[in-house]
Amino acid sequence: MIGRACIGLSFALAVWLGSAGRALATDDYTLPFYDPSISLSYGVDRDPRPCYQRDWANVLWADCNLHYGRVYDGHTGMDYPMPLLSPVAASRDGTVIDLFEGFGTEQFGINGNYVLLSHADGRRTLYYHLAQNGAYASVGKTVLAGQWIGASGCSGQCYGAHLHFEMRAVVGGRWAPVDPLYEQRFTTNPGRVPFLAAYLRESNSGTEVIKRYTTITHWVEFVNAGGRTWRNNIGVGRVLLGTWNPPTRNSAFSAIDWPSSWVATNVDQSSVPPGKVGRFTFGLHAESPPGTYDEPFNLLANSMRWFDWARLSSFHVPIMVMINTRFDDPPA
Amino acid sequence: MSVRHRSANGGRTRLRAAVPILIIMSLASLSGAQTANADPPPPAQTITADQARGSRSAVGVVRHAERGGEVLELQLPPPRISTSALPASEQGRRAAARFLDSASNGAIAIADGVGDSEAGLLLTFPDGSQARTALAGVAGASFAADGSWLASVDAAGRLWRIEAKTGSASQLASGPYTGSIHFTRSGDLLLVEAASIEAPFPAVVVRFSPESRRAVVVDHEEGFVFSAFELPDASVAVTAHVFGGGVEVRRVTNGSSARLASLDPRAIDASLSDDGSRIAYTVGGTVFLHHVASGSTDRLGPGEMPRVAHDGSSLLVLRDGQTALLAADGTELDRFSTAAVAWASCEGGCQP
Repeated sequence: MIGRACIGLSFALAVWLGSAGRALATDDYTLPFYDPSISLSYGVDRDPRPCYQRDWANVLWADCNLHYGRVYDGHTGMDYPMPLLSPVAASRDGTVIDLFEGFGTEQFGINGNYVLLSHADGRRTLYYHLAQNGAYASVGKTVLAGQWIGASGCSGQCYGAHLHFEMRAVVGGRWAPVDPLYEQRFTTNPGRVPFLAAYLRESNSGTEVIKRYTTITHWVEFVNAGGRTWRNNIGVGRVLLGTWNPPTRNSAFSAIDWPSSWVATNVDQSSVPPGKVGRFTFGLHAESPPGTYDEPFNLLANSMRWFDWARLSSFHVPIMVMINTRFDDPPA
Repeated sequence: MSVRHRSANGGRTRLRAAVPILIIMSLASLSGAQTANADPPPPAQTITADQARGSRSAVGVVRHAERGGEVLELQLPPPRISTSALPASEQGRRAAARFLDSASNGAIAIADGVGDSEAGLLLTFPDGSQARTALAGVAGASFAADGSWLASVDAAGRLWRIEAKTGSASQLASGPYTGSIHFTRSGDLLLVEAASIEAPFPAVVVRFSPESRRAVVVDHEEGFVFSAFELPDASVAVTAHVFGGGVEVRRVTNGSSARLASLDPRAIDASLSDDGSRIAYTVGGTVFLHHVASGSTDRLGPGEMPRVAHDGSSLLVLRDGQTALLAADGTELDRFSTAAVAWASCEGGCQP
């Protein structure tokens, strides 16, 4: 018994010692992209000595070789390979303090395109190698975590399209790169993004047939596959169903229960934690002439961050408007 | 940067300057702590003109007397790497960018593959002989005034001294430097030093003495620095993106900085005449020429990567994978069928 207790104590001590010197996990940043299949190629080298590399798992490599999935010597950020023009997201709420987007998307050279954010905790995040005109932000504007702020590219000293994501903090009075993976700064593990949904089912997956001048009710359910709780109140975490292609398009089928001409509804439940199902119920009112139509919708978080529509099974409602003989003339 | 960096000496790339950001960088620069490290030099070899022809690596040079100076049209061996998957503009850009510098004795420095992390440095001489140095990527190079050696920055940002006759290399400093590299008339090097070679921001301009191997910060304004070179009055012209927006060319004299020109916020590839009076740059595939004295800017039409003649009277631009020689008003004066065209060095005096 005592022996087992000693072993347990030793293990606890070892764990504690192992974490000594390690920053407390705060989980306050999110991964800077939406695609959960994207994984790290090279992380931050936390050892300043040439040819000594300390990776995000605190493993020391006494060489100057590249260690895929871990680190390469002298690397100041985290590289995430992704196709050209992939969405790049703000890692945390912040303010855009600098950007450059003049280089070609695949222009190899000394310098590349980037967005630099400043955050409330005093840190900065840098999103590098972006595409030409790939900074979807402007200096001085505030952005929310998960907001789409850029398009990935391969500008600058880049070999294969990827995002170089770098976190900086003031160390000893100067800005220095830090390792958010080692510090456990991410809201979710690599591969989880804050706002992500998966299509589950809907009230009618076929064509909605609506008699002209009448309203029907439609609902759709999505699984919250991201790292943040969805809410239906105005404020942080609000998720709504809006028109798509193009976004915020005025819909010809908005019903009286729609909050606006492009917002069909907020999520029905007051909160939908990660892994749970959120339902969106809304009316479709037909004023359009008889015929066939198609209404695409997408989810929007925090009034700014659209979801990955493909993961919503490109949700859209095919609609057939029928003649209403009470008001319409019969066809000739 | 997501790629292998492999030097020819067994796949090891040593002494990547890993010290983060400008803290150590500035201190090291000012204190002269940037001494060379014991990094094994990359191997070098020399080959005769016959051997170059036999291995189909010979580089031909056609010299043209054009408005603005002598133009070198290079006949290069096939590129080491395929660029066929790249956009046409980028293919041309990389082909042209293989030219690095020319010396007054006719030697020419070429990067054997731009965008290739394992590209080497090729020196070719008027008699057809060559020297090759297996640098792990070439970010930039510049000949010393007498052409006896050149300074080169590799893909890891290290600074090397390359002997022109033999191609043998010795490390001058670990940097990292970005690849913008120019000699001053006093024999110092103007370099851009950054925390990271992959994301060189912020960066500062330093003056590096090859003899003492000490570096001194020239421009204390940290930023996204594109390039720096010396003007006739020994001041330094620094082209940089201004923190928060805009691209500026600054004239730095004894540590104090004054704006020479304010360019389009998306301006890239700025090129200055020797006296700094004219600045060409590209915005989204269109070339502009800025006149510093009047503050006016002329739109010269489509093109990329402008290179202003030493006297500013004309410029070379990339157009459709070829090189066009434009007058200062945009009139096309001549057209070369390849992108591998550059101005000859002005060492020895190009000025009238």
